[in-house]
Amino acid sequence: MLELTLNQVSKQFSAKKVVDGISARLNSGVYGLLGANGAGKTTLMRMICGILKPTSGTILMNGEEIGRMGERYRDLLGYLPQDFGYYPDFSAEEFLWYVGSLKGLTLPAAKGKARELLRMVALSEAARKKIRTFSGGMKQRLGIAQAMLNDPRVLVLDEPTAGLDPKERVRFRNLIADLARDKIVILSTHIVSDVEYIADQILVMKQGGLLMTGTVEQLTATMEGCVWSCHIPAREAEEWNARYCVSNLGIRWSCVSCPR
Amino acid sequence: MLEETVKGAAEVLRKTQASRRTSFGEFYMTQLRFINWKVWAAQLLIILAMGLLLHKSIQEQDGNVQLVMLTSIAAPLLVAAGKQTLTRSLRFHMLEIELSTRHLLEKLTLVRMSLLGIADLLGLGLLAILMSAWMQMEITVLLLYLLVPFNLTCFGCLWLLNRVRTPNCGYYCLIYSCLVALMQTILAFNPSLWLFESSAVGVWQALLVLTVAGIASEVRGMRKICRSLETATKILV
Repeated sequence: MLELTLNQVSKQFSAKKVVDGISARLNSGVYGLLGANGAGKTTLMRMICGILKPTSGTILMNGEEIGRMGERYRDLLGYLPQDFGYYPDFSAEEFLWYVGSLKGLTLPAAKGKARELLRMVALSEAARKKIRTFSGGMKQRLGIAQAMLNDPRVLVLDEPTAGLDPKERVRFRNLIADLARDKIVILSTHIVSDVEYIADQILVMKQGGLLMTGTVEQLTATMEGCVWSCHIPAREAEEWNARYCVSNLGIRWSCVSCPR
Repeated sequence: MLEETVKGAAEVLRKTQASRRTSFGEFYMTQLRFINWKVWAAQLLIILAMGLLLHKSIQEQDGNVQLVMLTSIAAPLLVAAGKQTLTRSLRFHMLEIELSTRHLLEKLTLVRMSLLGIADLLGLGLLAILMSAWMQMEITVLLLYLLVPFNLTCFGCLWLLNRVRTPNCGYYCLIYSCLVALMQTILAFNPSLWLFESSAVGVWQALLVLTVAGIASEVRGMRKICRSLETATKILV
């Protein structure tokens, strides 16, 4: 049983507090980190991965500080950064072998796992093609594959669906749902539908803080009575838009009458 | 029954392989195959070209210190040829992945540096042996003449890499290496002969010690920088 604990985790860059005193306890399951751009999702994920150190607070894995665990923690970790790069002279399989070597896999093990993962993300046919020839969606799928090379117990995915087309998004959601058993999967997005069906818990971030946490049903329940759907005359749309937070504005030209 | 046993054995082997982690030695050797072959080819080409140039020059004129100076231009060129390997994590935005894996960026950078360093030193050693054989000069002195510009270029490049952590920092290293090579070319064609007098060997030795100390200090700085994303992408000048 895994438990990742965030204790009053904060991060400050110069005068700006990007993450502000976040506390949470994460067990096996899928956690969706929701928030607008600049809410602090990426910084929080980087701290969870140990590539940024918190200004204050601690991150513990099963009660042990992740910095102290070092290699032991990184052995449990799979990470897909938001803007990850790649070496253009590598083919997809070479890239996976390379990341496999960084993750401490032997070359035969890395080759076997790469083959399996390339099949899983539907890139088998492009395995020997140079990454520079890949589309955005293909690169993203390769990124997901590299994160899973070491069979991680903690999988951190920063905006994993960016660049994926609707069909790939569905495939990705199913993949995560399959993988989530006995794992802590943390995925950030600002697209609600990406996590709506697969996340066991949603953590909503705003301006570096945790605004609310809960299941989709719990979060939806808190919004009861605060969200409406209504029809208004088109000429009033601008006024309503300025006065309320309008999420979907559609214009319907349903009735046109011609005076006789 | 046999089929099941074979399947079971294959599965056990797969699981054992997947759960085993490489030692530092294995990681070190594996990184050899991930350095672009063009880098090794460029280094080999530089050594061959310098060897040929030296051979031709010795046939045309008697061996003199001017030739030593000219041959030592190989040192900054070798560093320049390998610089893209050292800067590629930064250049191709791979830092985040390389900072979250078992073998960290710090270890990876040290491994890359040492692999390139060993190859460069082997190349320079070979040139020193050739020069010693063709010019009847003492090999230790020749090594000194080759290693000082090499160390000076390494030190300058590391100094730059530790302070300008931007994707194009490799170009600054290239410019610096070219400046060292240019300086050597100027010295080769306008030789300050006192530099190669036996009384000046002490100066060369002092320079060697100073540059080695400088490199050691910059390597220590590099290790600290490569431990966190904040420092690995910071501009300190």
